[in-house]
Amino acid sequence: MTKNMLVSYQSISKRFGGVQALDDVSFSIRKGDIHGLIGENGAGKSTLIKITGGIYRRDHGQILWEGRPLEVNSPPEAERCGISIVHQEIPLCGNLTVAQNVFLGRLITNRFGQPKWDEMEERTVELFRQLGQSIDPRVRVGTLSVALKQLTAIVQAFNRTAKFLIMDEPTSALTPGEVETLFEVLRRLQAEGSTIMIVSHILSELMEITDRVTVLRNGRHVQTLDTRDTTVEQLVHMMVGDVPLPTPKQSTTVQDEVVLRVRGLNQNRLRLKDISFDLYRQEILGLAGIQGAGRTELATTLFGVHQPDSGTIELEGTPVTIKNPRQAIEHGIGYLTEDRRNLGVFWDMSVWQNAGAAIIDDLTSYGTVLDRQRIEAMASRSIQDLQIKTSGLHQTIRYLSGGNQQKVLLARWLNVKPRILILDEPTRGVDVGAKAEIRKVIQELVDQGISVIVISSDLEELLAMSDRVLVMANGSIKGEFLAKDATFDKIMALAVQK
Amino acid sequence: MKQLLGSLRFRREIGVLIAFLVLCLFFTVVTNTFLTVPNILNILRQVSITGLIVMFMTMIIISTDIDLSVGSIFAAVGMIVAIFFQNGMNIWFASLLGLFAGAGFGLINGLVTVKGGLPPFIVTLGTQMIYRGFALVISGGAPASVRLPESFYNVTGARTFFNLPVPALWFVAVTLIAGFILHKTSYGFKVYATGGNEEAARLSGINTDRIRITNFVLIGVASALASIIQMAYLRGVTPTAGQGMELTAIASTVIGGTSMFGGVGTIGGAFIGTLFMGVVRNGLVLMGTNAYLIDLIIGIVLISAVWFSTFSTREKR
Repeated sequence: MTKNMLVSYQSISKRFGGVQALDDVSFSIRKGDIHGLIGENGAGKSTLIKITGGIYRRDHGQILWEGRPLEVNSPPEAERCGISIVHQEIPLCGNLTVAQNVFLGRLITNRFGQPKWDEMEERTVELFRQLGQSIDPRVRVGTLSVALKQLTAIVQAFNRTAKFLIMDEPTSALTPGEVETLFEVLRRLQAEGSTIMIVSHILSELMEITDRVTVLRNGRHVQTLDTRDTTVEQLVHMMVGDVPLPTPKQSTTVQDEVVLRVRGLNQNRLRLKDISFDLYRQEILGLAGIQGAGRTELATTLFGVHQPDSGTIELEGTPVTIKNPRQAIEHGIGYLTEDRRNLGVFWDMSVWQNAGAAIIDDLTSYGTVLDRQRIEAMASRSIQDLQIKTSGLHQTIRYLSGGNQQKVLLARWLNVKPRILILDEPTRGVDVGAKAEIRKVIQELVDQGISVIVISSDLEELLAMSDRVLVMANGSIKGEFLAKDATFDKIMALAVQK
Repeated sequence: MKQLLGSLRFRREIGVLIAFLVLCLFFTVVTNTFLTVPNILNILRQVSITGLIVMFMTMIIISTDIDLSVGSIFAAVGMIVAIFFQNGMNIWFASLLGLFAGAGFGLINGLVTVKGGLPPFIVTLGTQMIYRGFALVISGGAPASVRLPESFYNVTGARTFFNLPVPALWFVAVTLIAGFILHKTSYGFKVYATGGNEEAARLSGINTDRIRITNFVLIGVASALASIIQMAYLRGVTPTAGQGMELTAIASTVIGGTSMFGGVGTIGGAFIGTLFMGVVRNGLVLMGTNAYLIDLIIGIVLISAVWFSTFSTREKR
């Protein structure tokens, strides 16, 4: 039995402060399988991966690697064993070229120790060709799109001839075409004898690619089963337990009054061209489009991070110039970033500090002295309203799961009491349960009179949430639909326009 | 709840506190003069001048900046105040001008660093030489002695009730003020936010430029205050005073648990770090250590202390 197993987890437990991240988890991964690992955020997937990769140490239990106990205490040790991880948030050296990143730590050198760049560049091009992609190996990684960065990280792992490749949300930043290509390559690797564990929230993809699936919930192992013996509905049920699934949007609250009017907005450096649209009071306006369509750029320009080169922005009929985020906040605009890791979270700070960052001056008496009562009131309201799972308001945010971190950031913007809230990928990397909760909170906000712009790459979700959808491509708006009239086909047809 | 907050805040400093106590115990055992009231008051006075600066060095390092020019501001302000005073100006007014000069020097550091988008290490390395040069030029390179009025001396350089040195009282008072600013005000919050993730802070509407510049101004004022107190105590100033002061201040800050990567550190830790540096030097002198050996030993102690504090409080993985 264990002979066929590449990796066996036996009673793995791990605790962070007051949070039991993994609790007695046991399951095995067959040699040569593509194995899916699913669960809500906070279910323990990331922790399990990090233990496998030597980033964390387990508290209890053991891992068997081809039947023998595996002891890895650092990522390089894991790599020497043949374990390669492509993380959700990719550590690449932006100042180095694609080829240099792919061959990082394992340069090909001549007899005198000089790197043979030509050869490495050729090999890089070849590796990318296997993925069905073409690339200039001399381009600096920092200048690449998110999708190409991720691809570079995947190629880096391929190049390390991993026996066991772990992919943490590999498809979240890829277009459907790129996902197909990736899956082809994974199957090719599988045919050559590699074993792959893939973590994803997109269950339909996992149904397509995996042989077996393991479900975790709240740090516990729920079940490991053959993919062909199950359905998406069954898996969702195992992930969330007995929670009702979100229902599509029914009520509509949209008023006639225009809250935000944008006309002829251009931003040359960000390639935004002639953007014009209206946002109505109590409307949820969806922005659809593929990666690089300019949606985040539009959002950050409205939020004052960038200055438009031309065009007008009117708030409730008054033309405004927004020079920086502070002014945007003063005008009642909030912006939840898509880049939680780099632009959102204060890692060494607590839950309350993260939730209160945008209103810190209001949490004081005399305008300067922090007021414990106001802080505690704000924090407990945020924790309660958003059902944030934390051991307390002083818990360092680092130790929360991704979904709970996202809720804290959402709380930061709710505390601003905005008139207009721009949500950039509010449910990216967030599990089904937390997704439903976040969507519910957004609907409640709208019921209370706020207008919302939502950017999401999950079309299904976008249509379920929005009253109206704008489709962007190449920095301009290509079309507009009422959500009830829109279909995937119509939207994608516009989104892939040049 | 209050206790929880306190314990979290000081967790990083526990290691260094233990090391500090062990060190004190060691010197108490090997010398018979270390644990005496006069010696402890002496240590307090010795560390007080640099200690004033350490508090704001901590703040500036938390916001991921650094100021290498504090020793030169210290010298330049001392010369400015002394020259005004020698030319007949009221010492109180001259000191006030000195504080403004310190703020001005800090403002220059801040504006050039933040608005010019330059690395603070380089900018303040440059102004370190500029301000030092300024002190040398206005003094002609010569020290100046000052005969201060009693009333001024009494609140700056003298000893007061229970023979307490006044500079030490200033040190304790400024520590409390800095602690209040950093831990109890929204300004302090913004310092941590700026150092923890400047982009996220900007997106949260925090004017990070203003925070960073203010930090430079604060440390400039602290350096000026330290200079005026030192002048009163020594009854004179020299244009070469304060050389290497920035390094002592940074060392004390880091021993106190502040991260050079920003976002992490406390005034409580900085206070312990300051005393730590003072105790090591004082204890070694009392032991009759060869004067040439002292710096060598302090260097080893510095690294050991930081290693010990990070080792003992390192996140369990």
